[in-house]
Amino acid sequence: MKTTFSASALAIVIAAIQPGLAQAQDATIPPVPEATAAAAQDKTDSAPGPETDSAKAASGKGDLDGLLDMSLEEILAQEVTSVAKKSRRVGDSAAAVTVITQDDIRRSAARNVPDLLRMVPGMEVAEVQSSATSVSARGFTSRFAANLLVMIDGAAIYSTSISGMFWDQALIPLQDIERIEVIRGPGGTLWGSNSINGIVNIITKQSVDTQGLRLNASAGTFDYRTEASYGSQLTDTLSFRVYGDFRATNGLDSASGAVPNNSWKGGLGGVRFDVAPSENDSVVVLGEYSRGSFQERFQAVNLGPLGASYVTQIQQNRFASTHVLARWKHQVSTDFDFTLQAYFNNLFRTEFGATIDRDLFDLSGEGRWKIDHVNEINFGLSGRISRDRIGSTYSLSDPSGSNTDRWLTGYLQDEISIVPDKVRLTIGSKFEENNFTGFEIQPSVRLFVRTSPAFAAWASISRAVKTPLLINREMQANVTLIQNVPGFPIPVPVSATFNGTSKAQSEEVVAYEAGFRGNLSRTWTYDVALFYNDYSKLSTGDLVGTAPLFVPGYFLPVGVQLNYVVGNQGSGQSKGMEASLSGTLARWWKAELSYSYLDLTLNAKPGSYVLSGDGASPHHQVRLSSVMNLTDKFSTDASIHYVGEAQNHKRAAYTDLDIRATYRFNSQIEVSVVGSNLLKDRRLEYYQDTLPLELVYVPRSVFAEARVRF
Amino acid sequence: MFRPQSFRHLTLALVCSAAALTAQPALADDKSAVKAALVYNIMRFVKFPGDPGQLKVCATAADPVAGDLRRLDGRNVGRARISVVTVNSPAAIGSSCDVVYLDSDSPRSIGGVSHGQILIGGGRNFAEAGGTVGLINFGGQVRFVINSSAARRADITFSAQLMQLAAKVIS
Repeated sequence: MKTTFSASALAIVIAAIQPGLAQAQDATIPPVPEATAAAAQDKTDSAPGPETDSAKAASGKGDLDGLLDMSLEEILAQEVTSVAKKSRRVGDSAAAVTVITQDDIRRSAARNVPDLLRMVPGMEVAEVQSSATSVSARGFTSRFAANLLVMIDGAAIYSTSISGMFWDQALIPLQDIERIEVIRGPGGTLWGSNSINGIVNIITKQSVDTQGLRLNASAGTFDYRTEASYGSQLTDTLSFRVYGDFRATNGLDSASGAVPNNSWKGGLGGVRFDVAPSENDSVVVLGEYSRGSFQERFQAVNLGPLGASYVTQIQQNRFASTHVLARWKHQVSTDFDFTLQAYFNNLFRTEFGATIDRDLFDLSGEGRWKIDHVNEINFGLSGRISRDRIGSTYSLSDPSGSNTDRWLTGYLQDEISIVPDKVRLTIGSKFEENNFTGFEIQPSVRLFVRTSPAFAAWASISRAVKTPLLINREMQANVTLIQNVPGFPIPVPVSATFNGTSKAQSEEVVAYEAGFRGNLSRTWTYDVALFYNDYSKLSTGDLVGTAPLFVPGYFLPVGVQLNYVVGNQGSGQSKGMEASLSGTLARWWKAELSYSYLDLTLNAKPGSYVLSGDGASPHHQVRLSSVMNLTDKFSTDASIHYVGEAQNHKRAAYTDLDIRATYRFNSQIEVSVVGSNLLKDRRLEYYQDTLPLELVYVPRSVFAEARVRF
Repeated sequence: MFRPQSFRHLTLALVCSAAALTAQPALADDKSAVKAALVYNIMRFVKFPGDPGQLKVCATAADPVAGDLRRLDGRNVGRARISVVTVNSPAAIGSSCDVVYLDSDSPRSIGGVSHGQILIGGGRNFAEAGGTVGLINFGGQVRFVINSSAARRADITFSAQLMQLAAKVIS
């Protein structure tokens, strides 16, 4: 999701696309909240009580009437000094926005954040290894997917070395997540680059909201997990939470069943302080440390008298991360507020025998200024330094051994209210100066029109870029696979070498988006987003030479050596849609149906191929979910998910079923039984044939879970 | 053509402008509206014994939230219609009230919680002192604490979703 951002890219996105002014739901993340709170309402009002007239609410109101149209989550997010402001809702956003709420999380079968993202229309989530998950939107699913900007509590955790995101290191305790905001498509006028296809913003709960002891433990056929936290409000202005989690699994299956030496385990511990010295100030200070280890079943090529064959080597890998963040938000008036933030993140990881050790320093400031009834300005400035140290091996190496990147990023946008609450135009741009691709500009224009309380439409045009990863710029990767080669009677080793180059340029996209949403009735809503993306300068592997492959001990060539240099010879177009329909079938029963379609075409010049073009993105996805509160104590939740085939049918289509049944003994204890992937013994989510790793399958699993709160 | 230099100047100008605004006066306090809205929303997630067709909300006339609470009068919660009654003192609040709001008085001022009744208050440690729901201030936001024992004694059932959103649950 990005390289150059600061605190609240997503916040600004939503602020950019919504009317009026955004006030922090989470005091730590400026403009996003109101939008998300609205989404929360859309997704969580399944509990007993009157149905909310979301159309009416969506028009936005101030004072008590406006508050009464909000959900409980939304009201809790309100700054009491700003309720005169217009409420912000996803229904008023000029982008494809989805919010995963606390209730969605609590009632899902998800084990981790990528699992949660499966519920977002159009998101592509695939388990690639026990330690690697591909998460993408609108195409480009691959093991090293790097098109989404990921932020946790305002801090971008996007990696700029070999992959955009090491999802297995996102060890956020699920019980501490307040909400996850997802934007599909370029992030609008926000911080920096690499939100080219979307943004995922994970916001954790303020410590004042998690007082007491909370335990969550689960164990089942696939893994076991524990989460624990203790929080307290020490004074009227100070609260804290200490928290941690631990997860372990023997790993994903092979095609025939469980395999040994494929395990993964990891844990995180942290402490968070929330300080509210006044009603106009909020301060967050947090520190986290996580570590873990995992095994990979690496396929080394062995040459024997009968030819080449794979030999499984068990690689023992480990990871660790240290994260420290401080943020201060000050609201000067209802028309002006600003946020200052600083954070440090160290990420350590071994992968393919190499080590990656990255220090990241980020300092940012951003603000919102409602100049008058027509214009509202959002602006920000961020400085960022990333220092990578690479411990090289044959598979992955960096000749220089270390690299330091620097970014200076800013954004500026004006939200123009042409007809109050009905027509809004947002114009702005991101600007970035970095030491490897120079100056980048990413402008966007968004128009929002509300024709009635029950119908709104939006459209946008944006230009976005993805700056090249370090592996594209100066690292070298070597991959050896056994393949059929003309001229050889049997499959032989093919060794491919990829050399990064300082000439690597940013990938570019011009995105055309439009959408509409509204209410079919008091209890049913729909949301449709359409897009067309025109990509250019996509990163490619450009073949610059072939040669016979010689190895010591053999007088004749044993295979073929291919030499590639990273270029930008790719282009492509994608078009598609995401649609959802949600509502209540009865007071105790809520349902949601979503569908997404993607048609992605990639082109490269002869001798080149698009590095992120695995063809792993499905054309069609369908999801049907049901949330039933059968009694005060008993509830069931289920979802059926269809994912169309991909990779030329090498990865078959699959349909799967998740079910959760929950019984609450009292207000403090609840137990659940969860079945996941119930329709098949196991399924392949990603066909891995470009790296020497075994195919892995996600197994059917069942687990029991207990949640306790004191 | 846009150049980085001009961008930096523009940003600097904006930051300076922003700094100049810091002298503006403090904001008005809309806390009572938030509290009234919280009372209304909490009622939506409560199951009262007997599923009454009318819910009587009581507060003292001098309560700073009373004005906003009165605006709940006539609204529906599920199938029940809200009627708001204000009295002169906490002592005048009777057991016929389904919801009692006390912004600063303690639960003892009305003699505790009656059957089928929820007692919501904004005073310090209100839930710890026997109230059903205590509203707490933290910075610019309002949270709530639930006393599940008090609710159970009054035969009141809170939804799981409400319990999840509580900053604290006291048993």
